[in-house]
Amino acid sequence: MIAIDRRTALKNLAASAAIAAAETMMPGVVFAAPATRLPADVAWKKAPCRFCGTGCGLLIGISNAKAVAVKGDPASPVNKGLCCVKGYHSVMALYGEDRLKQALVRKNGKLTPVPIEEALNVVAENLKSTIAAHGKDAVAIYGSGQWTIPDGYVASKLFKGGIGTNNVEGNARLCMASAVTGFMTTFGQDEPMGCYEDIDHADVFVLWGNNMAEMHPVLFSRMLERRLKKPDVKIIDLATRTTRTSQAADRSILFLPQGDLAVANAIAHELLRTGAIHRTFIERHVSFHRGKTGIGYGLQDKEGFTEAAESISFEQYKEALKDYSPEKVEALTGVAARDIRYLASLYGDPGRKVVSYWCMGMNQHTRGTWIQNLVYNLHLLTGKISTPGNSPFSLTGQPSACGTVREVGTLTNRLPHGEVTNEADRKLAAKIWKVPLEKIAPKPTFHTVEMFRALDRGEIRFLWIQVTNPMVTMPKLKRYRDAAQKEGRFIVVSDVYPTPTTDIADVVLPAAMWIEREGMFGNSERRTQHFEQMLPPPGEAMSDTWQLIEVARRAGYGNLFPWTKENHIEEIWKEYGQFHHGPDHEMASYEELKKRPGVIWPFVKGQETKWRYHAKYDPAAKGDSWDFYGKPDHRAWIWFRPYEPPPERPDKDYPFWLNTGRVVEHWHTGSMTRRIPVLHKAVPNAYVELHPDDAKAMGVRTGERVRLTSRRGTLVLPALIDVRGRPAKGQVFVPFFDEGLLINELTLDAFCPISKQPDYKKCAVRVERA
Amino acid sequence: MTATIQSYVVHPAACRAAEVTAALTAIPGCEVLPAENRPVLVLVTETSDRAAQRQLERRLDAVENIAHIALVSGWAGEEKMA
Repeated sequence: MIAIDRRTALKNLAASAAIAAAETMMPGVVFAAPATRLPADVAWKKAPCRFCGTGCGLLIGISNAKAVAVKGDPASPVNKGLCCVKGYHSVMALYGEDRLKQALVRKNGKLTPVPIEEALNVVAENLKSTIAAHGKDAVAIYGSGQWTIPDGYVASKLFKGGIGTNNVEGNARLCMASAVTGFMTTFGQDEPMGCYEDIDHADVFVLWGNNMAEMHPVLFSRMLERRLKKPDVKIIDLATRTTRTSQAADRSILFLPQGDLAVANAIAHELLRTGAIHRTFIERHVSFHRGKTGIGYGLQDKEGFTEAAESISFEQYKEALKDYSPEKVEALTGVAARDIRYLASLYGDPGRKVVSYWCMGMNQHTRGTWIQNLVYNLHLLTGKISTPGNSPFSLTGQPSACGTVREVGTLTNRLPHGEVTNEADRKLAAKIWKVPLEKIAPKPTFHTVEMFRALDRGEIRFLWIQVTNPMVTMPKLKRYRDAAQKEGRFIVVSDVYPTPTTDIADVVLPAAMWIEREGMFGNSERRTQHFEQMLPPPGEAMSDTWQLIEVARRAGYGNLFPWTKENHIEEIWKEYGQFHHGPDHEMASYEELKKRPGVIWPFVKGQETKWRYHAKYDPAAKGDSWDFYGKPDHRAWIWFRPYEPPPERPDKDYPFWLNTGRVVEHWHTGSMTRRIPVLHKAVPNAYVELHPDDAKAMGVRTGERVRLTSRRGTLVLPALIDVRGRPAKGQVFVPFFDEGLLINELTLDAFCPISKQPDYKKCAVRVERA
Repeated sequence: MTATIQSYVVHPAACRAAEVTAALTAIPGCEVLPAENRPVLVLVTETSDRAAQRQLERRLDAVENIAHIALVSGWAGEEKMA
């Protein structure tokens, strides 16, 4: 029998999901609160959503140690009570039938259930023996933008401060690294200067390769609502594929893959030609630079890159853009010159406030850093930055890609709020961690793709994977799956459900999920959100933070983690906060985080800093207007970056472009959302979208099987024609959520040489009827 | 037994929201949440087994003046609803 609370919870979830769908379709629609069907004892507790980087505030209904309902938190400035379909079904992901509740250790080739204490001993022994036999740089941890802040902090402290290796990476390298290097090269500091409140002030939204309707539906809904209230607001969808976002936009502009580089330069060209620039802003707050060109694609093992920035004059910058007239760029990108001029007119109109949004389209790009620089250029040429409604804004994919991977710094080159190459940052870390300075290695080791290549080469022998599923997500997957299964490699995987990554593990540790433990996430707009433990984890499942501490204690690093199970999250936050102490930069206190639906940092003297780099809003900014204090010259850097082609383009053998991505119903590799019946039923398997003309030429109809082949692999999928999105002619799109249809068998492991982020959006494939 | 709970967004034909609300409310197992400021409804249905679900779907098909109905969420299990 289903108890009354279970049934009512399901009805509430169903109603809430439909209300959310209606709200997305019709912004501003109001429903009366559904008649309450909840048990009297339900307690509502706040938490950020478990899924995307928007960071919607949720209220979770808890009754009898079960999560029985979800609603959007009206007090959250992020979503103001709205939710998307994943948010409304989020708690159902806790209750899949095959939750991992016991640890597993591979014995005689087979994963065998063992008590978790035994599994933790096995992990610690292998960590120690690998270091003894092969050195400290033979062990590595690969985490996630879904790690909580305490998970990432403890991982960084153990590996960088305890073991002394920089072999720490997070899967945000695959989703946000180009955003980081874009911010760093232009502003000298990471993360957006604005916040979601920009939506309430902007007149123009330019979406650069960003299907917000599916990937950030709540923010998309807020944007549509803005347009409803102010009908002259324009939404421009600039993309390689027609999507639900394109359909809602005022103008949909398609460009050929990689063409965004040229389009951005052409808009700048047009701004300069027409004089639609903010000359005073440029004179006072901007400097001009160019870097290396012909920088490669990272296709060879150990391929390095060092930037060499050169200062140039405004006139030299203008001269460099002369090859990017709208007409020339039309021929290169397929974007009509009139559309480029239209975009320039929007950016250049002093009466309009402009927000540019992007996510994976610009990040997963072999020139990912460059395209970020080029979009910043448009805001810097026009002075449309760091004031309400004027924001170049990189949206995050994961719930704590910012909070954990970028702010805590779980990347090989990073320390909490610092860089391993910076001696002052190492000294601060050594002081706070109470370890000798020489323990913290001054050089980065392996970024993510190179980490898995090192596993293949045998330089890494022990790899601990937490909260991520690289045996679905790594590009050119076969090489890295084979690497993980080589003799002499030891793989530990912490997760909540079986996945293709647990399949290749030597030890599987069952993890507590989301509200089954206490933690914090940090979202796209620099908002840190705390959630308490609301439920007991199932079986012997344990938080990733505590797994790391247990192994650290067994491996001889216990002195770094002198905390109890009861107080460790609070103590971690307090210790981590020391990295951020400063007169103009501070994180909110633990007590403050517990009270509020998130706090935007820098949090100085009780005030959030909603817009950085402007003295009116940012206590760190000096003077009376803009101050780009992240750079030594207090100027934002405009970079000249040319168009360069991608490493692999369609040819006679592989004549189509392949683009990969997500769908609104599924979170990343689907390991959670495919266990939520309604979401699984909505999109049960991956598919290949074709342009109707290409499908007609091949005689393929929706549902019929199509074989895709790249130089790396082949895959047969059902075709989908004009059901969800429409690729341009000569292009196909495949979502990556389906572990049964692994599209990353076909993708290429080329990456941006500056950010080291792979490009999942462009490679060449052959398409045939199967 | 396959108990099923589903939710839909229902768009009535122009000026027919009240009639559609009344027709849906009259069907056993249907709960209707009308929007307060737009002509759109949320419908939550509950049936106890496959036969009842099929019968409900037939009755929904027969309701007049529905311009568009979209299934949003659904749950089906082998357990009996309490």
